[in-house]
Amino acid sequence: VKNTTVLGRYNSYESNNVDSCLTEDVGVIKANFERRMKKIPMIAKDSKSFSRYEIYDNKNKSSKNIILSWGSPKGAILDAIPGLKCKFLHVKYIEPFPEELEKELKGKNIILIENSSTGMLGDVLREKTGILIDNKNKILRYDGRPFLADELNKEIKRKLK
Amino acid sequence: MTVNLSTSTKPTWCPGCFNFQILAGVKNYLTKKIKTEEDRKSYAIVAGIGCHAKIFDYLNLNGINGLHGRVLPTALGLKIGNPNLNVIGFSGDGDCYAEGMEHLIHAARYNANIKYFVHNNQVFALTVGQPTPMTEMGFKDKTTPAGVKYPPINSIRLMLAAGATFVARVFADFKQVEDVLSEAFNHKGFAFIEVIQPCLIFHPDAEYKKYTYNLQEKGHDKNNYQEAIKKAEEFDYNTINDKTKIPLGIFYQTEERATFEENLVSKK
Repeated sequence: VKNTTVLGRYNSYESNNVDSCLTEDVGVIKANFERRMKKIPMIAKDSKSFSRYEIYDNKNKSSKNIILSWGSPKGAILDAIPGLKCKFLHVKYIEPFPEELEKELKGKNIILIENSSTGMLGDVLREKTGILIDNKNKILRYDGRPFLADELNKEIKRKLK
Repeated sequence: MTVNLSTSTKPTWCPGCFNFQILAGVKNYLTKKIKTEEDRKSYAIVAGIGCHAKIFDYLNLNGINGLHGRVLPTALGLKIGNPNLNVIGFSGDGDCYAEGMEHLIHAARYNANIKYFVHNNQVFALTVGQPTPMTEMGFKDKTTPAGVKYPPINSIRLMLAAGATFVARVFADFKQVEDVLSEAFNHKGFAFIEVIQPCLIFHPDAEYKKYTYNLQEKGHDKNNYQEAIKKAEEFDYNTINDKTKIPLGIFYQTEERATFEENLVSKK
């Protein structure tokens, strides 16, 4: 028996995909979850078509010092690093995790710069790849102000190897 | 030719729930209006979250069952997309006065041609009986063991103050719902209809029906704003005793203001 005969029905809750009526049927709920989970590898595949992180080599292509950051500190970092012996990796897209990051960061002296008190990107990196960033190598600012290029320049100099 | 508005989904409302009366009233009215499949496409329903929202599954019509408290923005979106659509919104008292209060006030201000039902059972029934902004003082449940300390909102007075152009209250009786819906569809503009729908399980003391009386039978002038305010203050949702009088019917109606759709067109 067809439940409903109209097609313009939308439901934001767990429902039968055919007629958009709410369901408590375990089979349908399970199938819906599995259908949604199938999208994640497809999103990961699609995400390779655009740039998920960017490397600014700062004329030091083979440097073992690498600055890791995401979001708004980018501008200040780009202003701070000319002349320093380091590269800069800016992450733009984190979920699904860009697996190539592991290759870029392994065995390097990673300096994490983040406008947060916990250094979340470091936690994600540890979770996804196992790479641990030393607490001494984190430059975190959490006083509600943005990073300034000249201050960053001094901080980074101290952490270079 | 008749169009079947029923679905084969099995209703999960409690036996004897007053929501069945509202469903029957809406269905009776629409069955008279919808003669062909083309007619069916000119109607859309929107529901929120709560016991009331199950009505979405039992009506074979186009529509959206959206987020908690967001019935009116969704309905407004439908109306902007297709101004000729007859949009009926269904909302509960928790959905409408707790989660979606700001939308309600602005919808009255915009005056879009939407017919809006509030199934008011004065309790969050789907999540087993927490108090809503409409629950009377002293109501106790597991989440408020000391009783509700705040007076309920007088929604009729609120909607009159917010500038709604059609304000009505009915009891959950299929005949009353059907009549008020046909009045609402004759109205040009936002129609706010509160349905007193006592919850049999989580708010069972409310014997509202025996205190009700009909405004239109008592000769209430529905075009008089001051009279409407006076009538709205007769019942405050808080005290129920022998002196309680609950006015039902259309409190206020005016078509002086332009509707949301007319303003959209005139802007072009």
